[in-house]
Amino acid sequence: MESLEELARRTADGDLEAFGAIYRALLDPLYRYFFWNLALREEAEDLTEEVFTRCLAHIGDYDPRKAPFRAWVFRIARNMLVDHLRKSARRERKDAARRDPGQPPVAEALEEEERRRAVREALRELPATQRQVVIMKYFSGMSNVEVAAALGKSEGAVNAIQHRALRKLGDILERRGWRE
Amino acid sequence: MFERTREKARRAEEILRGIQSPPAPQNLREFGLQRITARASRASGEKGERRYLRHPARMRRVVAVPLLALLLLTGGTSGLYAASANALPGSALYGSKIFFERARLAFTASPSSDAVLEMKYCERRVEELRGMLEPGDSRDWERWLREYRRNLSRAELLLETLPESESRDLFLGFESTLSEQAEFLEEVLAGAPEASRPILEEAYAECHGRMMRVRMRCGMEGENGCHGEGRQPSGDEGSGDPQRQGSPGGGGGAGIPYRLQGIRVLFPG
Repeated sequence: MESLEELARRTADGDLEAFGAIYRALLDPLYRYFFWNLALREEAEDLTEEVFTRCLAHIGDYDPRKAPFRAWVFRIARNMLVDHLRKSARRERKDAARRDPGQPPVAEALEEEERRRAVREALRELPATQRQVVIMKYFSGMSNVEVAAALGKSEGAVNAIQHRALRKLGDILERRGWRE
Repeated sequence: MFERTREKARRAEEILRGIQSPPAPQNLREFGLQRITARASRASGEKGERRYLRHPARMRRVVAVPLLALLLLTGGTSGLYAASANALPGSALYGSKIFFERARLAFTASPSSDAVLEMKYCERRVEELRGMLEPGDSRDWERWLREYRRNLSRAELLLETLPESESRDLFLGFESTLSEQAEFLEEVLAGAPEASRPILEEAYAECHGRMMRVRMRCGMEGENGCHGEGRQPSGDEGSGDPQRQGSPGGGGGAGIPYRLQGIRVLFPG
């Protein structure tokens, strides 16, 4: 299987089929990244699409010597998330009522949705960097090396942040009376 | 105390690993890529010509145009161009023929013209096949297949990048071309020499596969596609989503015979 870096090079050469392969490989990880960072699914969809659009427009700038491709894409994603949160901060209260409408009332789906909501709320209590590390690692399936490159930190620092995040998350979930 | 903290962290990790993270929705999976490539294509056109400097493919085009112009100025080149026009894979002039084809793509003014030219080249490949099946010198079947695949793939990808309004008729033309070529390849396969059979089978599979994909994209179904009774409107028609309205049955060509909407009318010969 071709690496993402090789596919990026081919895309920069005008091969849109290669970009299709990148899209298929990163669609779920990126969507999950936004899903766990944002309250509204529609926002997660829009931002996912926007990241790919920006990625395609700037793929000629990607340098594989500087970072893994996945990390480069997630750096774009993170910048877009920060911009988005900044812009929507004022709208936050108004949107509160619309937040995460959830699935139709099927018992199982509802239960799963409740679990997700609880985890998302717990994640929101984490400091921003810890939250990013947890989401990238556990929901977007990135390695510590990739997370480090995406956040502009060393791998050791990411390890330490991850451990601190898990400890804090454990406290939060216990405080909220999480039951497995 | 330390043990307890570790235990809590371990439980938190278990919870994170156990929670079901939803996959991307179907809308993104099916139509996201089309929207993105179309948007990127439009954006690159709007941002002006200097963007080519950041894209190797466009950069090559910028280099190719003056280079080709220079070559054409020399008398020998025009002779070479004429001589290579009927070259077949395996002959010394075939490389020049392909070079001139690619260079000509550098002179086109828009992605839709690129797509049209690539479709024309697909037809040229099939024409070459007629010559290759006649007895003669050794033929480079592998090269032929490579070029045919390249033309098919580029034509389809270029069409995908066009806005829906522009691409609809071109997709119809492409489907028509593919359909005829698949038919021709099937005929040829029946009486082909043993040595060329695997290549022709691959070519047929490639052509047929793309044809079916284009039909699905256009909302045509079945082997008869838009030529016969097998054609049916897609389930997405009238969904309200402009990205889903790529079907020829969507009303764009009402009253016009299907064939007249195709590429042969736009670019005869």
